[in-house]
Amino acid sequence: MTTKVLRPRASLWTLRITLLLHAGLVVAQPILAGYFLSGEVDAMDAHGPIGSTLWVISMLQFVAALFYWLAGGGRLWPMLVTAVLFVAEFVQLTYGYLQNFAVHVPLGTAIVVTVVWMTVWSFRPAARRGRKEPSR
Amino acid sequence: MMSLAVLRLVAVTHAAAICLQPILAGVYLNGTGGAQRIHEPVGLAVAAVATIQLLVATIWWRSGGRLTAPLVSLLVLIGESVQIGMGYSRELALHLPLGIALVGAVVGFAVWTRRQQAASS
Repeated sequence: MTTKVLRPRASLWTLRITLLLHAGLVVAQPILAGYFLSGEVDAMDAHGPIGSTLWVISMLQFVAALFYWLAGGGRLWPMLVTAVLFVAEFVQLTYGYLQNFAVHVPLGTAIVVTVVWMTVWSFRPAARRGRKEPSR
Repeated sequence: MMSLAVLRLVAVTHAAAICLQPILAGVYLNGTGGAQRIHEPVGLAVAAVATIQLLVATIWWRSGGRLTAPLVSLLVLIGESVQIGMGYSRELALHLPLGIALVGAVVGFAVWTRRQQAASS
């Protein structure tokens, strides 16, 4: 008979909600930066505080990914990628305040692409499968 | 199949070229004006590669590949055309987010082509 395989459900939804919040905020950043560079100086009043908060979201996402891996039986890599994101967002925040754009602009691009890609992945069937199952 | 191998090569070249753009833009914003003089021709070259990619993707689709490839390539080409226009007209509020979306789409497409199986003929 088939044995019951552990599949993430509640932990996956927690991860998805965190990712949606993360993606929403991270996507706002280049838009706000673009408005700022176009001369709308007020846009920085939102860009700065959001950027200063993103690494906290990454911490929450790390906890969600930990539960997804341990309690939910999901894969390990979302937790590892989130750890990298946490460091990257901290570096990004530092270079933003230093106004070193040669790092800030490309690193920001990489962060946005990574977070959006993870969010899309979390809603695909692969995210629902437990790590003990064949990945097809 | 031959056309898939070419598509993969074009897609990887496209991805490498477009990844230069945020770096050059950042160097320019740091005060190095020369970076903008590279940002412009690279941007035009990226759109040229996108046109080649659309052509190769269409050939691959017609010889047993997937329709997704030319569709995505077409959308990317349209996006890059808008991006170039917004760059010249200094519409940075659109140029920045659209640029990031294009980097994501082009890199994602290159990864996607690696995962496609060549159709058995």
